[in-house]
Amino acid sequence: MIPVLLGVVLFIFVVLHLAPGDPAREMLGVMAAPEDIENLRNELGLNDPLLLQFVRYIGHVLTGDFGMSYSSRAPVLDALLSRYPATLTLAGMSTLIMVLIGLPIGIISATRQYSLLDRLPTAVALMGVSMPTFWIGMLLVLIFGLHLRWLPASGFSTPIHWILPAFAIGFNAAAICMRMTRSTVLEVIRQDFIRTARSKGQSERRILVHHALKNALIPILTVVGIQLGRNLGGSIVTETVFSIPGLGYYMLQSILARDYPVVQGGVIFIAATFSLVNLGVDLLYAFVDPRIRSQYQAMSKKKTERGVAA
Amino acid sequence: MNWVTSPVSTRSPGSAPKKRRKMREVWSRIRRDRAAIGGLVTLVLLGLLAIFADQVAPYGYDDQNIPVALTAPGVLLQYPLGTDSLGRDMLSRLIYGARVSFVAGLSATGIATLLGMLLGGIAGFYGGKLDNAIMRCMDILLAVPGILLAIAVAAALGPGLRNAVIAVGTAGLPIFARVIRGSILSVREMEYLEAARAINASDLRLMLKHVFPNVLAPVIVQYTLEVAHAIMEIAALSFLGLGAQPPIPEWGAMISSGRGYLRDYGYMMTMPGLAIMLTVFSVNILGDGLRDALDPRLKH
Repeated sequence: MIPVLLGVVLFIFVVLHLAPGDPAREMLGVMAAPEDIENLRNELGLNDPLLLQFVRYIGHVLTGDFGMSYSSRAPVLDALLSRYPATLTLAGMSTLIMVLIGLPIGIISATRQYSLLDRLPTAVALMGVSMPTFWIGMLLVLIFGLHLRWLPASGFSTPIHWILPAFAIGFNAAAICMRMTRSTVLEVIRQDFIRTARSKGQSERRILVHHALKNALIPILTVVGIQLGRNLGGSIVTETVFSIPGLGYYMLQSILARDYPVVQGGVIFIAATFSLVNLGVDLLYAFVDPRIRSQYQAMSKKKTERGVAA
Repeated sequence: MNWVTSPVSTRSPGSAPKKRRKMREVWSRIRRDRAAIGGLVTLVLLGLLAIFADQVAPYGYDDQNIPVALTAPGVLLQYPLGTDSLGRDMLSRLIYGARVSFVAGLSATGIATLLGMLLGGIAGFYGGKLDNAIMRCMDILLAVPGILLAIAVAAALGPGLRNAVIAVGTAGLPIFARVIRGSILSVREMEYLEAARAINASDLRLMLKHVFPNVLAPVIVQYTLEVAHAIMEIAALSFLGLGAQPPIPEWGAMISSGRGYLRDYGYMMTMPGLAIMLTVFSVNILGDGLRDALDPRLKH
């Protein structure tokens, strides 16, 4: 995880420094004297070799110093921390909506394959994955915010404000989750052990919950994990639609203003969250699947044995 | 092992007559899939609109007629889908938009496929340290949500449609590399490869004549589904102002320009969105149908 994060930072660092435009010029304006720009570049360390800048940056980040924003001259870390909760809430809420809608519908349509209860949700889900989230968001604003006036169309201050943006991301994600759940459950209920359970005369309910879902859980968990990360990414665009003061909106403005430190910090935040979620999913695997759990146990046993031997 | 008399042919399953038969089989399976055919027909029609936009569209995409600006759809016969804030015909802009989205989506996915085949192919074929190095790089790209990666690259290259295409292609690359590496690993130990190697075929020949034809199915499916994805991501970049710049009639950019007129002229935003939805929906059902036809075991 740590090497991957380092790689992400290096990648973003190089990409942003290849970008056209000079942050020093951006800060001082077009009228600035060349000497002033040169001085500022020296002050910001922009004239040093890229590798040196990178190492210095990593060193600072490790001590919790994400640098100063070029445009506001305030510490980047504070600005990111104040905006992070909104983005996390949005991604979390939309993932919740995704699981609450996508999972049950996926299971139902798999168990009732080719019935109306299967065909209708499948068609709706296919439409759902075909709609860009920012467009869904604007449609929701148009219908529920402007015409019906039921819900606020922008901002993120109270839970009522969360509903529309969370649904904008959640709908698309629910469609993906539903499709995945459906195909996984279908795959599992065709297995031999399900037939065995049926022939034993077990109730359909017990078969579904104890035999089918237990085995379908791993791929579903994977999708939920991946999707939580994608919802983080989706919130960048959605925050713009709803003018939510979150990480994504802030990063986008900083990208347009060439405020490198903010963009780098934001990418680190999101990539770290993404990696933590993936780590959490990996740990959950062990929790739901005894086969994987025993692998972990065997590994740690080996480690302790080696430790004893040494 | 009695390999001298074993009937291993150096001809891989990808050779000509067999391949043709397989394609016919796949086609006959797709033909029975009504949804997939519907998607294909819609796409062909949209593609024709895109190609012949100059002939089909009643106006140019930047022909302004300020006096009739912001006419709602259905009000004026000359402007069946209404006009935007600059008095440009919505219908014509949507038709030209199909051209932009098709070209951009296909080329972004093309970039991702070519680079992905190269990197994933090398990683899967040679294995070892090279494999490790390439796939770790792909892991790094995968550790950032795709749209964020595309935004970062697009920002670095500067706004513009061409750069947005490169950005979306880069963001799609790691998934392709993974899919291709995975399928190559599954054919790498096959006997026909061993046989071809035994008659001293070069690595390049092995790759082009024996490996790639046999991993084509997942690549085609992935390509189709990725085109849908790319069209939406390019629209998102344009929506954020990082993609197509005015007056290019890109659908995402049109949605973005409709944002300011949301309350009273909602059609400026809904119609380009519907166009995206129709296109992506068609690509998706075609992709689903292709997947079922190419690998019937996966069919649900």
